[in-house]
Amino acid sequence: MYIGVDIGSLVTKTVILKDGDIASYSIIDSRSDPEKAAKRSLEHALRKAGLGGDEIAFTVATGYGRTAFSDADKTVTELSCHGRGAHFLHPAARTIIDVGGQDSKVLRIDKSGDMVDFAMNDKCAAGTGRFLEVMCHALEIPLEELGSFSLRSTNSLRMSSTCTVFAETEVISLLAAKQKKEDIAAGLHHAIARRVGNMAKSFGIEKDMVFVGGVAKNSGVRKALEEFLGMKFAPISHDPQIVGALGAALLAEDFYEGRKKP
Amino acid sequence: MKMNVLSQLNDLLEQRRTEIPKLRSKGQKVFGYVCCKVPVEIVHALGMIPIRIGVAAEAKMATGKEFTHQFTCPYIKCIVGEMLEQGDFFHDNVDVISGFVTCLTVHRCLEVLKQYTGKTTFYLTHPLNPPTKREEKFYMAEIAHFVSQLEAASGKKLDNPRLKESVEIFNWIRVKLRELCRLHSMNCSGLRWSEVLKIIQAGFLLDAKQYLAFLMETIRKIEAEKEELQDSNGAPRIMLIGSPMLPGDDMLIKIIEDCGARIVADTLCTGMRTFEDLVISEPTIAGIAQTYLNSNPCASAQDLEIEKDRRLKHTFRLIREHKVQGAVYYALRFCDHYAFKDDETKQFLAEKAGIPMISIHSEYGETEEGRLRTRIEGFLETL
Repeated sequence: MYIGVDIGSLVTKTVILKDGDIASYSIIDSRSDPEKAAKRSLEHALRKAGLGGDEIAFTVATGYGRTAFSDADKTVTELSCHGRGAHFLHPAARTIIDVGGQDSKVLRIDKSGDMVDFAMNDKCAAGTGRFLEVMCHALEIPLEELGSFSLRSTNSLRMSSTCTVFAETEVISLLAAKQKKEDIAAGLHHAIARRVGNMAKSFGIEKDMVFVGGVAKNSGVRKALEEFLGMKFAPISHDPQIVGALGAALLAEDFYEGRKKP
Repeated sequence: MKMNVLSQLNDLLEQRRTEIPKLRSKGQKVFGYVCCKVPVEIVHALGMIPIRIGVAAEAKMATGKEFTHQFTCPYIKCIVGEMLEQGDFFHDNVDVISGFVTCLTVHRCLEVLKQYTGKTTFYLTHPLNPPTKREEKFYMAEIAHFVSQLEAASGKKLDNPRLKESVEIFNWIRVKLRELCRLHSMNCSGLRWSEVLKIIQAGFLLDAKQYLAFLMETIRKIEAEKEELQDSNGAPRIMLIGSPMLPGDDMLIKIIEDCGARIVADTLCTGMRTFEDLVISEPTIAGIAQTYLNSNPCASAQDLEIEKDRRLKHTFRLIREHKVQGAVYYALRFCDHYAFKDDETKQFLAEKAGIPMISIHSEYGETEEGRLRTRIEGFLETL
């Protein structure tokens, strides 16, 4: 079996690949130690599948904490892993948008799932998962409910900034002005959509387009991005948050089988 | 070989830093410049010590910001910080300051330095259009004015035998630097690009004759051992394009090298641009002006039509010459010349040279290593 571990800034994901399919996966908080997070995540996924670690043939670590995981046989960037994972789930995919905990990316892949080009956001966390976490705190809404909550909006408010600090201040001001929370949430999602969407537009989009990463679970951001870009995302059959880890597991198999040079 | 060369270079640089104050105390003047196309052979011929101002240092950037603006590029912030901070080598030793006004920030830099140091400071300008008779006339007058300013600052008259000697020394330095880069490009220098660059940039400070002797000895050693040093590990061949990387700004280069790639060439004003196309055939003021004017132009002199852009043609030539497989485009924050041109350059390289390019927008400092590493690794994964 092959393991892919995606050690993100907020969340660590592990996918176990066995007989060409996903045998198990786990998603846990990264906390402060990326190596411990990777180990915990792997143990969790193994336990879920009722498997032991001795069957592991090859492990690829990815994500910002990839170099911290000493049990990995190889590290690959989350860029290539997201491309490979998205291709597995939707082989016609050519453009992948990934919005994770602290950055957002747009990448182009070829028909084999290999990345050919990419663009990444600047160094701050504006318009990413961390941004949404802070806004949920200000709005007192659970993160997982923010998407569906925003879809009830009838009057999306215009947010002037995707800077986490400024936007939080703006949210507090809007709450004080008795604006509806769902309208504020919709405004936040549109602000993210403008930021990520502009990056995608200037990079260039080829069909089919797939949305991955933790923020892709948010139906409000998904809808806002589709509206901004004027096209729909292709559906995928698994949790979009595990696509990077899935790609890492697929690459682990490629390396082990000699289809790619480690 | 490698350790010997680098340790010898460090010793020479260290000695030079202690030697320069002594030379000043004997009456020699130090000419500090801020652009790679300042004709240093003229400075040298007038008995002054030419040194290029600037080392990448975050602490100096903070000082530089105090005297400029938060939207000033890190390159200028470092230079201003170093020239205005007491105890800094440049502050303590530079007597005369000059440079080409390649953007308004450089102009502001010279203005601030003149105001706060009170030292002799003057600038040069260069034509933005491709060279014709009109640009030649303008540029010739500019260089003649430069000579008169230097003569006033040094208290000496420029004479032809001294000029010829200086031109010859700097010509040889440039020939040897080209040779060093050629050997490195052939994978047989035994050095990383960060080390080659250190050798190139040592010329910003070292005495010209001493530097030439060091280069000749280094190349002799490489030639003698090149078969043993030959490295054919098939690492991707990368070219650096973009903003100046001052000495000490080697984080991006080290990341590229740590990720398993080889940098084989650059077009930077702090790298190969300091010697490429600058071998002077006629050791006169006119000959010097002609050579500089017709060399690879400054980023501020970009052609309006991309098909005619001389800089891109030069980049294309280097890509072919050094068998480059991918380009890393480095744009310092608030360095408009490079920030404006990255998309066009990427498109040009993809269409005309068939190589991919990644843009890195950054600044001097260690804080961005993780962010840059992911981008560089990702880029190398596409090659």
